[in-house]
Amino acid sequence: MALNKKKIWGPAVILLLIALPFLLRFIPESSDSGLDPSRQFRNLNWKDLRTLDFKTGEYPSYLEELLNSRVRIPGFIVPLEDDAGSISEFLLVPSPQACIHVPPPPPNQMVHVFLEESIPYQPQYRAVFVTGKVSISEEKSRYGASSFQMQGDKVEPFRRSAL
Amino acid sequence: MILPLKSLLNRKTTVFLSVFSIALSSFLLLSIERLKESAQESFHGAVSETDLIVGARSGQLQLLLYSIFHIGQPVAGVSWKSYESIKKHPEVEWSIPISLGDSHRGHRVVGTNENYFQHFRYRNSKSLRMSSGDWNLGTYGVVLGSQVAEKFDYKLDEQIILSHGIGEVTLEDHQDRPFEVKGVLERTNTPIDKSLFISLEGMEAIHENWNSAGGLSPKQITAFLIGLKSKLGIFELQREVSSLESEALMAIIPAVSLQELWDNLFTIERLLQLIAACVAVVALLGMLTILLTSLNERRREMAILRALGAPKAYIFWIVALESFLMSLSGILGGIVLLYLGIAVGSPYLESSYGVYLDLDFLSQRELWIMLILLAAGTLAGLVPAWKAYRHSLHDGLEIRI
Repeated sequence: MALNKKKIWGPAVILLLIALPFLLRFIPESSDSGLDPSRQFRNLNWKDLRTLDFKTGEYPSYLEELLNSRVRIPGFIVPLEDDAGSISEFLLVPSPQACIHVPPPPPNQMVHVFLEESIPYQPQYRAVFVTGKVSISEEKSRYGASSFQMQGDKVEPFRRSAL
Repeated sequence: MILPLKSLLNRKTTVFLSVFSIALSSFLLLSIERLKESAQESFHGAVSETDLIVGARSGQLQLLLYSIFHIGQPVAGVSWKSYESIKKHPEVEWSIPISLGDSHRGHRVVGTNENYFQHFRYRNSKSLRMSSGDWNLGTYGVVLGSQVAEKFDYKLDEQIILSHGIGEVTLEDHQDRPFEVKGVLERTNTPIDKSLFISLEGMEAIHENWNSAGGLSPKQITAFLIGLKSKLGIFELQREVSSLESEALMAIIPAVSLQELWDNLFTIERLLQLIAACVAVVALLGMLTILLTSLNERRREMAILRALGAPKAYIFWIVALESFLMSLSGILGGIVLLYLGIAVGSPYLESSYGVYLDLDFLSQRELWIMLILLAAGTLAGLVPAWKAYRHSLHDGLEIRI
């Protein structure tokens, strides 16, 4: 009996049909495009944040302008609260905290982020973009009179191309 | 609807076996998911709101493991003098001293003070609560974790004897210094349930024979937890602690170390999921084989149906519906197995592994997994359905030699 083409394809189709739902899980969700004006943001970098004098609480007017809009900051997550692998509160810092050769970041190089909804912490979240509203907190500490707080509404993995 | 059911019942044995294999595979998928979730919850919930853990300089994970999970041994202690000086640091809001090293019938004894009860938080900032008695350690008082009280059936005011060192069997019991049960904590689903708490003075007292110096004021502790006034001081204080000249200490941020540890365990969990998914694929292939071979036996049946006037599409749907019914009942069977397994196995898992399983309704993720399995089963069934659709009439009526 000659091999029928259909007979060869049969098992392949079967396997594909079974595997299809499993493969579907790995297709990444489409990211929301920046067309919606309420979802737009401006980039805020660590150099801008450094302009805050954390001893006196003074800062230039262009930083104030940035603080009034929705901004996106790149950085590294240092989780503070950890419940069942999801985080809702963390410190965002400009470098991973593994290096002990440099002094710890000063108050104007840290952002205390509170998330509206806690996110599952994933290993690829080492370096992230956090988007949200930044404000200056007057919480006094030994290390400075003012510092940054942020109400984050979005966390996404850092991509150099997105800068 | 009635006809495919009757047809399935007619082939009970093979259908049952294939449904059973689907049930087993969905049970496997679900239970791996459940175990992971519960392990993750009790693991991450072990400590909350603590900003830094300070101990002798060793490894991050080691410090976390012995101070919070009571696994492994500390390499060295922290002198009372260093504890006092860090405690007085202006940024520190509260501190909890912890002294380890003794045990009671295989359960760790933690020497601490009233700060533990007052400031310790676990899972989502929950505080500790007493189920009976109160946290009044005195010098010879002991407070029990819920599991310890349950396991040995200890009541309030009962006298118990602690042993030196850690292990089920010990040679040196502190016979001369019995402790009195002052209270029992409510269940927390954390390592606290398996521990006993005594005061730092009590810890000193039972070691008096070794410390000839006398006096019950503690000279050394194992580690301590601190909460800060402002989270922004974390890095500064961490650096200050680790650069102390007088003693080799280190400070870790618990959430960071927990995350690091969990990441390492995560790979194993992914592997288990992969195996479970393979098992599910095998079960579905088994179902497919049964459906395809049964088509051969049912050539006459199909032909008669067609001859009686059933449209071609009807044949297609009969076979497709069969696979849907089989995967659906397999999945339902898997869920039943899961709850049976939890009901039967949870007391054992709880006492020997400290894993707590609840009889919760399926989580959203679990529902998704089951839906995917159902969809895969139904889709796979389309293949024999298509075959039956193509061949139903001529196949059955042709005369073969």
